[in-house]
Amino acid sequence: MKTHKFYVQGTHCEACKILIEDTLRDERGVHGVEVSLVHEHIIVSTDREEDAKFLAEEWTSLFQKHGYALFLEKPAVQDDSKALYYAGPLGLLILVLFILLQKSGVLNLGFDGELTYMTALMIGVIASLSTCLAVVGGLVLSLSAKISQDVRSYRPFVSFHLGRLIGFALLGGVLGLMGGVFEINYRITAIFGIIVALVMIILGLNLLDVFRGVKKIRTTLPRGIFDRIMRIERGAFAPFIIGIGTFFLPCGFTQSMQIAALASGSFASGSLIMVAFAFGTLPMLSALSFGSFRFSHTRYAPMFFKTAGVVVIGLGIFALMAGMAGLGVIRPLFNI
Amino acid sequence: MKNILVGIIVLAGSTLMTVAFVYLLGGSGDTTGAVDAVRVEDGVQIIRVKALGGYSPRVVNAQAGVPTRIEMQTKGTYDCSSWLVIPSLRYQKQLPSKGVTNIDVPPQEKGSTITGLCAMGMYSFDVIFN
Repeated sequence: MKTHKFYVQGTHCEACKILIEDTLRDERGVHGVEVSLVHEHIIVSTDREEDAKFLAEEWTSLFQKHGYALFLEKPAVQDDSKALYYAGPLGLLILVLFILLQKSGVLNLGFDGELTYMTALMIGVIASLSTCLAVVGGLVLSLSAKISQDVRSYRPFVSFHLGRLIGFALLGGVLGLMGGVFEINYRITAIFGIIVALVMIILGLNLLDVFRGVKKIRTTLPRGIFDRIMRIERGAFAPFIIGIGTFFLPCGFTQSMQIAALASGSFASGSLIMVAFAFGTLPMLSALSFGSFRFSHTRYAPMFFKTAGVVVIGLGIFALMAGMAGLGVIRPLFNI
Repeated sequence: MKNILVGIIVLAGSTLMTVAFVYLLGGSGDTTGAVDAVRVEDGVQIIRVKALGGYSPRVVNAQAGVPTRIEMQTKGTYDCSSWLVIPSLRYQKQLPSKGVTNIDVPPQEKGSTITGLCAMGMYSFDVIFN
């Protein structure tokens, strides 16, 4: 019985750990496998007689479609830290441009006249470029980037967008049927906004991957949560549900459309208003999610993840401050 | 040598961005139109605030100790500013996308401030009573 130690790159999550351990355990002559996410290495005990180099090559071929490779020596991480040099300013630049876009007033269009489906579509386009993007877009970007680190197909993203469109159509219809007026307490919105902001900041730190501490916290989270995330990554059902869930994400524009759907008086018209709005947001949100997927499978991936991390953290802080101001905890700091 | 150069460029870039950031977000307290925003009718002080992609004027100076009415004016507004919250008055309302909504404010003490926010907290305006 021999024990070998291999270094492995690209193990970002508990799901990767489970995948590697399960795959290797099924191999001939393997008795024990232990993956350490923190040290990015694998300890394998085996009664195979071949040398470590031979085994590394053989087992790497098992993971080819998943993109992991076993190395005998710790791979240099130089590339990664260099990426942060560029990602920092680049991310800040994107944030500045985003704020300039808001400040320019280009997006402050008034939509006079009756609310038609065409206007709802246009409002969707505007919404996807506005501060709504700070919450919805930031969340889509961070989740997409995070998931892209592990999945190899477009499928989760397609079902996310399908879920969003179908969810908006159905729930908008329900609002149309309900009719009348109801007001959601603004505190609930603000608290919801703060939760989303915190999720964005955590995902952003995760994408940056500079704080080892965060990574350690992540690896000690209960395994059950990661089993579930694994299903999100592999399956199509969970992204679909998350897509539907975006109906409830705090965004002023979405709220206005929901009020309009309530007042519309029928299932069909409520549904059409919401789905037209969701279609309006589709180009931008698709660009964010499919763009993340494309970038994360090129050699610019480290830079992309870190830039996305900076942008998402920036938007998260903005949403956090806004949410706390909404609750009256702090004075409004920002006014875009 | 090359690394140091890159380092300096990156550092300078980041500093510049951060300064731009603070400048952009800080907001100088835009008071344009603040004078026109206040008028008096039948002993009631009326403050008109436009809600579209934020509130304008952002800061209004008003008189303390008199009955006051805030008129929220919307012009095809569907963004967050249509969802108004005034915490100190326990007021929240989804403003109609077009029209004027009146909010009655009891006489305020000298030096007090009323802050209106959109529900997500990204836009705000202040009425300062003197």
